[in-house]
Amino acid sequence: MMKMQDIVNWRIAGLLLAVLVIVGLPYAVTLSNARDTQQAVGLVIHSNAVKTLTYKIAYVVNDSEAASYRLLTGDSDELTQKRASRAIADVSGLLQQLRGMTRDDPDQQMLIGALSTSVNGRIILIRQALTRLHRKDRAGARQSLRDAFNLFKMNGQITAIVENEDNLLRTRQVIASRQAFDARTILAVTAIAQILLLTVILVMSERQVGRRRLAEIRENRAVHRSQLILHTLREPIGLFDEDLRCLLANEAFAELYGLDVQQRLQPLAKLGEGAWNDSVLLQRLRDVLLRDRELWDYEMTQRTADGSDRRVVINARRLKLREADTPTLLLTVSDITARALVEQRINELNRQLEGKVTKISDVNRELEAFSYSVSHDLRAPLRHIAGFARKLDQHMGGQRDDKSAHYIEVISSSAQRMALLIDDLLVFSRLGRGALRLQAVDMQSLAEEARAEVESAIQDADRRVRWKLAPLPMVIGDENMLRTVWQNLLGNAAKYTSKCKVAHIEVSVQQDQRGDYEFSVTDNGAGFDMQYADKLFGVFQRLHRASEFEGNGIGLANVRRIVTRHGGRVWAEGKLGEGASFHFSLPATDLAGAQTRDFA
Amino acid sequence: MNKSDLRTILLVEDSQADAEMAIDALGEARLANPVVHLEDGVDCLDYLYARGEWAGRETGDPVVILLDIKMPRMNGLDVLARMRADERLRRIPVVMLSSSREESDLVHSSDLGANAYVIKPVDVDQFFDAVRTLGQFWALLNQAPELT
Repeated sequence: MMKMQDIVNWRIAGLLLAVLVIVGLPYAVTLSNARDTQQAVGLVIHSNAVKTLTYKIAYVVNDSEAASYRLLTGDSDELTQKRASRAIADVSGLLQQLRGMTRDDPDQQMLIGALSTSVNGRIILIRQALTRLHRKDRAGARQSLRDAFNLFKMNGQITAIVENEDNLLRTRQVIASRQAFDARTILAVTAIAQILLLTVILVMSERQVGRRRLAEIRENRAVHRSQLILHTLREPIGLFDEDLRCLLANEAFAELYGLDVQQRLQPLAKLGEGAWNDSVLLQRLRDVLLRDRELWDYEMTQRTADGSDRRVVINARRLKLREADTPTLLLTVSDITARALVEQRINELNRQLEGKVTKISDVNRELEAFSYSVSHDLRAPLRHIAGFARKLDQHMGGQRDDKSAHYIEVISSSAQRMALLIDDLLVFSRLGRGALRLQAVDMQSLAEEARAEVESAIQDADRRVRWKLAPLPMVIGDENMLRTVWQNLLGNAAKYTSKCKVAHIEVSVQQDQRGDYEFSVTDNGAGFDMQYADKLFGVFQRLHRASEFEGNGIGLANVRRIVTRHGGRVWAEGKLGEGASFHFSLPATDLAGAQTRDFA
Repeated sequence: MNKSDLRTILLVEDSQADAEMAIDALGEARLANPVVHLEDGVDCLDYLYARGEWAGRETGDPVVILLDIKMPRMNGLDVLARMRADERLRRIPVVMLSSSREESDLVHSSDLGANAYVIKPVDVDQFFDAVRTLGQFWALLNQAPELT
């Protein structure tokens, strides 16, 4: 910035100097030229005067001599006598005058001195001749005039003085003309320089003006652009003066607070429906103006021009662009009504959700207590029924007949069956309650384990089961629960093929487009009627009589619960007498869905 | 042999029916040790510390305690915890009796230092076998550290 200023200063100084030289120099040259000319003219006049005077002296002397000769021949006219004595009277004054005129020239003085001698000589002889004539000595007078002409030659000296004056004049004219040439050259050069300077100034100023005009255009454009941005912004923005009167507001601001844009300097407190007429806020804004304290994210509810209450966040800061400016207040408003509503809704939902979670854990705790109580309290009476039936049997001893023995048998076996049902129910409920312990599970080895277990439980030595197990993948899941799935499905397959001569049990897997696995267990056993397929997976639901195939009807219910908790589904296909096929799917890796079902 | 010389088998069980069956079963084991039946944890601790109703009892510490878990007033796990925290009582063998297969009960008992955990089966024969065997094992075979 400083440097730029320096450059501008130097440039102005240089320009001034150039103007001074170019304008001042021709003036000085012209002035001196005029003086020289005047001087030259003076010299010419002077030279001519000197020459004239010289010729006049020669003429006066010669005329006196000529008049003296006339007197000698007898002419005694008064006018001729006056002419003859004129030289004696005038010549010394004339010579004095001539000396005065050439005082600065030693050559001329010398020549004039010689001339004076000759002239004075002649004058003396002329006077002598006139005196002799007066005494009537004609011959003497003639001799004196002859002597004057012969002894004092004057013409050569006259010529020398005139020539000398001519030479002087010529020399001076040469000098003068050289000076005049120099002056013309300087004038021409300075004239060219003036034209050049004027051109430079013209070009520079033209360029300056052009630059300024360009800058103005750019600035106008920028101002227009920022105006456009200001008005396009959806966020209300306003500029206020020291007394909180509106200087400038964008369209959003005007619209939100019903501001009349034409009307200038409206006080902030009176805008809209008194949206800003809040003593705390106004005080804070004054603080911003006076103490330069920024107002940061001030949240409040305002009644806006459309009559609705809006939640807004207000930011304000002081603008002071230059020292001289009075401070102004820049005010921005963010309408967060929608956000506030959403936040409120979210909070509400969160509260509800928390309530629900609490409720669910309450329910879970109750269920826990319930199942604990069931497993203790419900089993105890059964134990007593069975126990005392046994004691009754012992007590009756020999008195007991077949019928009472049968009754006692039914009582105790029913009690035991009920205990089994309770146990199954407890297992089923536990499967739904506990958290999934997710880990990588090798389905292949789980299926192999279950197959070995089922195989070892087969008591009939004649039975033959042909197993066909496809290679199974690793999945993410709860290992114990998935083990239960395989135990149930393979156990069922073995159970319902027990009446076949050769049982075929096949385990396979498929992967669908989404990457989900679908496991299948297919057998050639008793099968089922598809009409009742939906009953298969219900708790204690059975499609076969206990006398045909024993069981409680809890196994498939457990399978469904486990698979569902893993985010998969389970289904079955079958035909009575021709076998059945059970399928369950597991999501390939994403068990996010499974975890959210922990409370199911 | 003096009656007081034989150490008692302590049965702590709130259910009269269960207690009757257990006493029957122990009887079938033909043990000479007298069986004392208490109905809850508070009674049990009173007996062990010979206080309240049992102040001045002549018998020594029981040879084994069959302790039901779910009882009114004070449950079996609390009694076990109190015993294991007591220098004198900590070595008395305790067999937990429970109707439940609840894992938490089992883990808790084991953590507190129960010597055995028996699930009372609904199958009566199993129950009789279990109690009989237990009684015999602890009363006859197990040489508890000598206590004064």
